[in-house]
Amino acid sequence: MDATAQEEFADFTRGRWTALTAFAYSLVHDVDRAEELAQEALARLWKVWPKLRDEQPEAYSRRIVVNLAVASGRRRWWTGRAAAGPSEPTAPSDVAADAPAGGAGEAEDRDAMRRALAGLGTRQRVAVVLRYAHGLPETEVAELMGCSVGTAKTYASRGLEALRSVGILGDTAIPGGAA
Amino acid sequence: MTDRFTSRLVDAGRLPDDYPGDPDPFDRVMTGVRRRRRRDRLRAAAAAGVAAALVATAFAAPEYLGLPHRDAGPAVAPRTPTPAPPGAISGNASFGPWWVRASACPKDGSDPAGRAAEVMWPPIGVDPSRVWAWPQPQFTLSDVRCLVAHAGTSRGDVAYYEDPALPLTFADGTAFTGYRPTPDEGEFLMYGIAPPDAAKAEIRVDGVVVAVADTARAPEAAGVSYFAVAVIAPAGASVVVQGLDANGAPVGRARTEGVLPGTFPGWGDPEEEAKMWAEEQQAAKDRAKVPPCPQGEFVTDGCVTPEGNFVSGSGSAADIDAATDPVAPESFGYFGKRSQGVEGDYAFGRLS
Repeated sequence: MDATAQEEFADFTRGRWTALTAFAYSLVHDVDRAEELAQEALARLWKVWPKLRDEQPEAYSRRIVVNLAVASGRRRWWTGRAAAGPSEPTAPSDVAADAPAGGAGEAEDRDAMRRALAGLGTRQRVAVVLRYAHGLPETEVAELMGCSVGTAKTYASRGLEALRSVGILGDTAIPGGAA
Repeated sequence: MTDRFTSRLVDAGRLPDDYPGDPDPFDRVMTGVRRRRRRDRLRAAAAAGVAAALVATAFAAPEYLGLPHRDAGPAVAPRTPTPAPPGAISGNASFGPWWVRASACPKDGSDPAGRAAEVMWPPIGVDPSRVWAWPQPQFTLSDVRCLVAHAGTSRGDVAYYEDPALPLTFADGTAFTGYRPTPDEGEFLMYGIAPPDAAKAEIRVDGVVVAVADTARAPEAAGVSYFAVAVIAPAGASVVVQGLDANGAPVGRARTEGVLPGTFPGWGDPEEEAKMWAEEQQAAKDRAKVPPCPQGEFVTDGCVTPEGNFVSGSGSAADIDAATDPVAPESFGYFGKRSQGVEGDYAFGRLS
């Protein structure tokens, strides 16, 4: 890789690091993991930078992050589950779908949402986050997850149903009208 | 209400306000690049060098242990190997990053030091004069990890490679896994550092206790308990390592966060990934030239559905969009396999 390309990559990395880490964090809810995902994605991008620097490198990086997030969730060995085991889905009484915002309530609300998301399957969680937190169209969710649109819709739909089952949605209509 | 859900979802996934960022992400990424390169080299070395390494050890081990070399005439003087605890696993103080060797114990009575506890120190990395015969000369002694295996953890003269994807954290200790050169057999060596008060390490695979290993103290590292045990675990299994005290009570504080290694096994070759990505980009450009499918009509010609799926020949958009099968395992690569990488920038030490 020539010096110019290296400098471009360095600029890209420094400029997009926080955004990519934030994106990863939205999927895994853990800063260390998010940084690892961003680092690995960019390390992979480095190897192919000359080919992809003009081919939406950030989108490519995000796709790697999504794949790694899905793969790392699937490979549960990584998650270092100790005696406490995985987080249990939050009970409806703990969730308070209509909890008032503000102060401690916000923090509890956020924690409840994270616990509920942690109770989803990895792909369901990723699909829900991409579709509704990031507001991506289904086609883009499918592309990022490397699956068909129908499969992505199924993951998102089932994820929402699971959130509803633990009370995180309350009686709210499912966003986007998903079944 | 939908907005409320969305805002909560966004809020839950927002980086903490006090996230400091990274002082120089580029440096960090380049560290990852170097690690990846080294892993690739090691991967190649491991593939090419397993047989040679085993042969080299077969010659080096007896000499180091003061046993008669098979073709060297009289035995050399014993090097007074550090006695390992009976029935235990231990290691030296200079853990390097990647090499694990578990070895069977001599059964022929040729163990003058009385290490009849079926434990032996492998020569790897202990004696500078016996530097491991890596196929690549740049691997130095400091890069070599020594590990002594409980006899019950090994299956003959078998090498276990560290799997970079699978460091586990249990309680206040750290666990790693090694895999055999034939990982499809599903046998893994679990080894690591137990919480200080743990007398045993219990291994659960998918919620079932499959093994319990005694822990042991290493003479070179006071206060550190090690364990090792071989387990059978399918790829993707959930493995929990729990420290237990002498009475069988759980020991240690549960840790479930921040245990990812610095690298990932990946789901494919970066060059291939890049090629696929470029092809997909090109395909997207090509799709843009294809006319959209008419709404509500049976499609008989090439067109693109509103979701972006290309339809060729007979069929309808609904047929394509109705897929509900899970993603094929192959889509994620490495499914059912273990990473072939040999890695380890993370130290073999206790977590705080």
